[in-house]
Order: sequence, then C-alpha cells, then structure tokens
Amino acid sequence: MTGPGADELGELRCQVRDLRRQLADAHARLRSIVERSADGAMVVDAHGAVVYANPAAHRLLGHADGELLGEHLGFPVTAGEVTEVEIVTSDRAHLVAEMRVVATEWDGRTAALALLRDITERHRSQAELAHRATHDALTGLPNRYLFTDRLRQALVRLQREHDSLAVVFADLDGFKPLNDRYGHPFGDLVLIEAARRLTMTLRPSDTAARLGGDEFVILCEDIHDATGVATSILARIEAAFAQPFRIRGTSVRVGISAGYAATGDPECDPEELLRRADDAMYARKARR
Amino acid sequence: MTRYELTVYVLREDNRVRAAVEAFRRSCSRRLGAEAFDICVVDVLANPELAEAERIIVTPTVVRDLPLPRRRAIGDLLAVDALATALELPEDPIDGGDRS
Repeated sequence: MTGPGADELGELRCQVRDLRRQLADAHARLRSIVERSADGAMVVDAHGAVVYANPAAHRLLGHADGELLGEHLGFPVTAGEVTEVEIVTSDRAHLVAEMRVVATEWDGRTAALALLRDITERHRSQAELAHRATHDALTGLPNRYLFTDRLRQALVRLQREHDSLAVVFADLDGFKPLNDRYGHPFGDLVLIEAARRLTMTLRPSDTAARLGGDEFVILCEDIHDATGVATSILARIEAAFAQPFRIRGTSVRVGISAGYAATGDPECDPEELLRRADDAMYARKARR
Repeated sequence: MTRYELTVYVLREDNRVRAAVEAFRRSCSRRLGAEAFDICVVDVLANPELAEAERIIVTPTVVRDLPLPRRRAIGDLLAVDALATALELPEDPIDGGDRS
C-alpha cells in the first residue's frame, strides 16, 4: 500500500490551511458581533469569576476594558427566562438591567453566559407613569385611587393591630370666588399652597391626598385614641390656615373646614368611612 | 455540624425583596436545618461602605461567607434551586433535587 503522493499531500495541506483560515474568519466575525453588541455579554465560571466580558458589559458595570476579567462577580441565576438586577455604581445613581442566563461551557468547564441589557430608562418611565397614575399632577399628593388603596390596606392592618384609624375630610372655604376673581392659574397656586400647609400638619404615619377640586383627605393610622388624634389634627389644620396666603404678591384669606370619622372595625367600607367624614365636615361648616 | 453564613446584598429592602429573602430562607431551612445557618441582609444604599468592601457590583448578590471557600451568586433570589447549586448548598430533602 502506498501513501499519498507529494501532490496529494500538498493539496491536503492547502485544504487544511483554507479551513483554518475560514475558521479564523468565522471566529473573528462572531467575536466582532459580540464585541460590538450594545448588550453586555459575560461568561462566568462555576465559581462566579468572570472569564469573558464584552465592551458593553464593561461599560454597563462601570469598568474599563479588561478590568472585569477574574472579578468574582457571582454565578448568575434566574428563576424564569429573565430577571432584573441592579448595577451598583459609585455615584449611587444605580442602573437597572435585564439579565438572561444561558448555560454554556468555557475551556471545557461548566460556565454561564449572562446577557445584560440596560433598561434604566424604561424602568424610570414606568415608575413615572405609575407615579402619574397614583398622584395628583398639580399638588403631587396621592390621588383618590392611591388614597383608597392605602385606606383599604390600613383597614386590613386593623385586624392584626387592634388599633383604630381616622379619616379627615377637608375642603377650602371661599376657593371658588378666588378662582373666579383671579383666574384658574391663581387658583392652582392656592391649591398648591393649601396642599403644602396641610402636609405640614401631618404625623409621619399619616397620608394626605387630593380627591379633586378643593377637597383633601387625610388618613391617620395606628392610633390608640382616634378621637383625640383627629381632634388635634383638626386644630392643627385650622391653625395652618389662619395666616393669609401670599400668591403672586397678593394676600388672600383661604379658610378650611374639616371633619373626621374614625373606626376600629376592619370590615368598615372605605367609601362609607369617607362619606361619614364628609358629613362631619359639612356639619362643622354649617355650624360656622 | 457545618454552619452556613450567608449574606444577601440588595439595593433597597422593600416588600418585594423581603418576600424573596423569605423564600430563600425557607429553602435554606429545608436544606441546612433551621438552626444551621444565618442569613444577613445588607441594604447597599444604607451601607455603601460594606458593599464597596465586598466589591458588590450587581444586586441581588448572595455570598456564602462560611463554610470556606466563599461562593457568590447574582440574580433572582426566587431561583432558590439554582442559587443553592451556585452556593454549593446541600440538596432540598423534600423535592430531592434541582428543578431550575
């Protein structure tokens, strides 16, 4: 049996060289895709050390190129397909990233490929939307939706804590004539100042909200003496409105009427409690 | 008895994080026995110097401080089985293995 001739060997060597070149080209192409990717890609070994990270991963994690190699970041895990992680930055403006994990091998050993996408902006706009849906745009106070939700939660907590809670209902006196005389933008400034004064009367555990128009409500939680606390809040509210408002260089008097309803019953209907506080407020207004 | 000391680094300890830590704690309790481990939760915003000393770059990070060698994992605290594998904790005797 004779071996391959010199020509044949030469041919084979050429083929091997071509295949090697093709392989190197494919490798370089793949590498350039990963290196240029806007998403971070990292390979982490079983002990949690980074064995590869592309430039985007370095940027996202706040490291100069090459600095992540050998860093004991931790082995990446997700419960589902994807999870959200935060990236701790030195300036405390933390980033949010979506992380996908794919099981892989690196130099023949078990490893994980973690793909990271910066979703900080998306997160911020979602948080902003959620804030807008639950807060009054003018005063920044919680709106009716959020207030009712907090009231429901507070009622549920009554079951455990055997305390009581009170709802204070307040509306401004003489707001409409001010609005008619000076215009809506002026009225808006009055509402903003009213919200600020109301907020100053609160204890840290209380929640103030704007229901709409010139109507405000306050939820007073974890109180042993609901009547005593609510009465002192009413006095503080009236004192907070004793001084005239100074709006755009004009001094105006804005009064406030407030009433409250208290309950220790976890089964109490939130709407019914609000109605009772509203009635108490009108009764006080009528006595003036 | 081998004693396990685990530290969970989170960005801020809100209700969602507390619930996830509880799920992880229950999983550890089944794997290690209720008395054989401690979990310490570190809020990175409240303790930036601790996070810096430990070079915490991503939260949540879970560190097995003891027994040595130390092990670290990052990602979803609810991925209890994958976390246990990454931190080399014993198998859960109830489901007897890793589901994730």
